[in-house]
Amino acid sequence: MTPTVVLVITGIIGLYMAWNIGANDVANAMGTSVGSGALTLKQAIVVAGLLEFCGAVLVGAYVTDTVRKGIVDPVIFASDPNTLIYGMMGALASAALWLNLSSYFGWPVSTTHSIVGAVSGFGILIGGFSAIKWWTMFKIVSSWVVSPVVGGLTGYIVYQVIRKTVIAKDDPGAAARKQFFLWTGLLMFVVSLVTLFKGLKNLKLKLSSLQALALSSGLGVLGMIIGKVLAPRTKWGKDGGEGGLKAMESTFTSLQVVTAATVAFAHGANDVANAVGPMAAVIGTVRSGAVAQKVDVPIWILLLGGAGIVVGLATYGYKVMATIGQKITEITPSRGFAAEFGAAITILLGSKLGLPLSTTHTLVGSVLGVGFARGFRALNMKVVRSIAFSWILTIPAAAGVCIVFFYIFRFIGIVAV
Amino acid sequence: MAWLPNLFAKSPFTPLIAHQRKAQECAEAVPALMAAALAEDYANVAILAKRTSTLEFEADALKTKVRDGLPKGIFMPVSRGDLLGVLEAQDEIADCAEDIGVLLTMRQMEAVPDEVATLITELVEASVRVVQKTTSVVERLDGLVKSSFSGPQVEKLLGLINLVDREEHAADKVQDQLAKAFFRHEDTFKPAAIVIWMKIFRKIGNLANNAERVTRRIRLFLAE
Repeated sequence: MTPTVVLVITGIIGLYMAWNIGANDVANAMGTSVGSGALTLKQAIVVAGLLEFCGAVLVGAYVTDTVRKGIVDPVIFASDPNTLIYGMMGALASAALWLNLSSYFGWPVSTTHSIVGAVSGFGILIGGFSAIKWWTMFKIVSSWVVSPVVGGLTGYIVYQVIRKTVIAKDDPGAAARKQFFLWTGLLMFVVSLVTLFKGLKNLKLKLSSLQALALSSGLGVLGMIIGKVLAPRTKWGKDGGEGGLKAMESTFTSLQVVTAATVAFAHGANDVANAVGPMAAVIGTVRSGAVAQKVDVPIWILLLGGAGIVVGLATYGYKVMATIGQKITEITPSRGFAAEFGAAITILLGSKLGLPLSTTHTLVGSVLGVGFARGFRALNMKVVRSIAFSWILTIPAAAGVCIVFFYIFRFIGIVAV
Repeated sequence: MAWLPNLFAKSPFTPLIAHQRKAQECAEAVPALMAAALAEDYANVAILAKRTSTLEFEADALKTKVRDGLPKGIFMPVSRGDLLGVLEAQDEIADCAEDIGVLLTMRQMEAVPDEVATLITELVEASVRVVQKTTSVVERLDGLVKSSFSGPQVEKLLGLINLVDREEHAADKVQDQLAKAFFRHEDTFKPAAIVIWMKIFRKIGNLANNAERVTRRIRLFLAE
């Protein structure tokens, strides 16, 4: 295979992977909003498309670095760069296939776990166990356990606060209206803080912690002002019954939309790496003819990944969300907001720390967190069990399939470099 | 992302409320049943007793539906055990009603003195009232969950539960008067009749007791 052929095939597989990410995970961000009626299906697609793309391009570089060279020490491929190329291609193909399969069966499989499993798999094949950067692996695996817990805690706390300060009042509608600006301010502050902390690599924006804090506080105040101005006006009176709760929910609708947008942004940031990381490794190696240690992730690759995600969600994700919207009536805007707030913050933080989290599992965690605060009628813990199951199954499965693909690609290609 | 809907289980409160309504129907069949018995219209008693049995059977079907919707892995804002406790107490209401019908068909009862008959009717009405008030408590569970067990709904519900307590206490008093009146006329009753009537009085009283049990267990939900 000539270098060009390799690049083209890699590009195609990479786009297929990105498409899968968009198709499957979009409901992570938008599912609860469509379920609660805060957004129509079309609106959800537009919002998701826009924000997934921005997240991928603005923040996606951090996690991409980890997936590209943080898991496996590139040194082991120095003697034969082709193995890196075929391996990464295999990783993309196997993860995408696994994802496609599991979405068909409705399993809560993690995109991220698939790629990490696949990459580690062929890393061990080539370089033995010492090829894996175990400290990084440890950090990654810990984040898989920690992220649902953090999401859950945040979701729990946010909903408990809403419960005590708004729902418990005689007139929840009025209470929600009065506190609206506090929530917008907080949302703005936390999102800015996490986004700006460590700066924005691709915009070459470097910020110290103090600067990030200051800028975020300023944006937080801006958020409060916007909230004060835009606070929804409703005419419901105080009746301690259905009317008050309905008014409160409609107030939270806009908040839920904003947090859903944030989750979409965070998801784009975190998950684009699953497609782009291996692509960048291949492209870098083909271009330079050797295994590169320090190469920045070029922005056009992120744009490509982002575009793939958007196409995925617009074509297939659309259909998935349509069925979800019909089936979930449990989620009201107040619950949705709390759950998504928890998920958004956790995922964004993970992205900034370069940790490839499972956005799926984080959302499950935050939904459970709200459930613990008595937010939902009934939740099915069996899903939690199937997640634990998929943790055990996904990594060896993805690793195994990747190794198969690796041998296939090596068999087909003689030399690419 | 098809797993997202699977994360949410069906509300167990809906079938629970349906079951309580059916249990109330069973209890509400007792006044007609008792009136027929006191009028010594035994053909009618047999028919009405059979009908009550059928209603209790329907209640059992609804009870199964609730249980089917409570798999081990379910996570609710109330504990599974507490919820099943409420269901159990509701079930006893339906059972008591059926048992009253069965007891009245066991032997042809002789005429009952007016004083006793009046108090029997009063006890039946008082017990049915307790059951009806309990149903209104159970019906509010869904709204309670919507407000996440907070807010003015909780106070209102506690008020209703206290009302049920008072009504049950009033029914207890009537049961007491009935027993005293019955023993004032004890010589007019055959021994076999005394045995059956005692069992029947107990069952009528239990209609109210079990209804109060239901609300007592619902109080557990509200403890924070």
